[in-house]
Amino acid sequence: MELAAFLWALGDLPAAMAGTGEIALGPDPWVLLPLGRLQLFFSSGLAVPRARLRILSGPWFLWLDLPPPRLALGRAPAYALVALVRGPEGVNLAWELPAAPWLSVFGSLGSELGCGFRVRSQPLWGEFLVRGGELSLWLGLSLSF
Amino acid sequence: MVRAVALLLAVASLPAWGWEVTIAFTNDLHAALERLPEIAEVLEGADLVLDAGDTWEDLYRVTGLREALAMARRMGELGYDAMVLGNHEMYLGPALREVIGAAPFPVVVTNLTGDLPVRRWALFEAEGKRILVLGLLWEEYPWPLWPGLSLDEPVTAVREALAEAPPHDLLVLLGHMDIERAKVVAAQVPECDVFLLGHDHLWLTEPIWAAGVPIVEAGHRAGAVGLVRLGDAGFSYKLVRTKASTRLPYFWVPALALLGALLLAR
Repeated sequence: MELAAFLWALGDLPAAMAGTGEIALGPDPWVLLPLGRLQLFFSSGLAVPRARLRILSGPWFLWLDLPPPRLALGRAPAYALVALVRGPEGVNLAWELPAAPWLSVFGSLGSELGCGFRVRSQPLWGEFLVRGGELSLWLGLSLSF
Repeated sequence: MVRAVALLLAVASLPAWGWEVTIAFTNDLHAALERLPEIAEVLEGADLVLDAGDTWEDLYRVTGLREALAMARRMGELGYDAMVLGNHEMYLGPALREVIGAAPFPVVVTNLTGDLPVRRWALFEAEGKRILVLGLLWEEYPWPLWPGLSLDEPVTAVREALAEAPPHDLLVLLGHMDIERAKVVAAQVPECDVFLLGHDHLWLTEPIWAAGVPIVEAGHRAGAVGLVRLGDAGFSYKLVRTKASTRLPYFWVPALALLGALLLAR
């Protein structure tokens, strides 16, 4: 999975669950555009945009990504966001835990492994991601419509 | 003429008619829909019925939108006038908007900024007194995780709200935060007549005083109702326990299940 697509699919639960938009700068910049229950994901590394249909928006969260087909079931139990994600790469548990109001750690367990931390000063955020032994840095802007 | 003047003087020297406002409140109901009938009778006689949050969701039972909507509707039938959000309401995610929209009473969060249909205050009238209710939520998580929502510092939010709010005779703070934080807030809002609190599940039989402000909390899961009386005779408070308070709390069930699983695993 491409770096930006990995973050979109498994490392961006707040945007996935809240259905918000994002602009992110990093090794592979992306734009996430919210259109009601639909989110469109554009990245420089992708030939065609990807779509996410949010089927349930709480307290159980269910969304479908295309292409490739990927289904995720999430929940926000207490101070965490978690989602079980089934895609062509296999099954993954995506998670995000706040360590402080301005800091959270996130990652993915399963067929796709990755871990990072995100620093927030709404609406801006910065994140460090370690995936496949490589570190990448990202800067983002959350968009609420 | 002399008699008439004497009568007028006598009437004028009489003390004003006494007044008393009764506020019934609950906190941390945690979607205990089946227990609400047990508190109905206590709520009935009150001038104002309020709730201090963690009302529509129970993490131990993994309740969902259906339970949250049913709670909101039933609370409306029981005569609830307003509530503040608790941290558990946020676990509902964006679906919380739907529940707030379905609640037949205002949801008051004075220090919340963001896209939720809540009010900064609510004004009620009872016994000829105008009662201003402000709602405060002070819990860091998981708001930083939800884009578009943030919590402002409570005392600043209260001061800003009071500067804009309509004239009132009584000020009620409806808060969802831990008791230590509540004391900090109360100490900085000494004009508050009573601070109705939720979050810690405390069964307070006596108020905790902070800078002359009484802070009260009534257990959890409809195990009790707090009755506050404000009047010219002063302040009084009573914790009225229900049958539900004697039952096994919900959270023991998963705890015992986990313990059993651990024992079996060994």
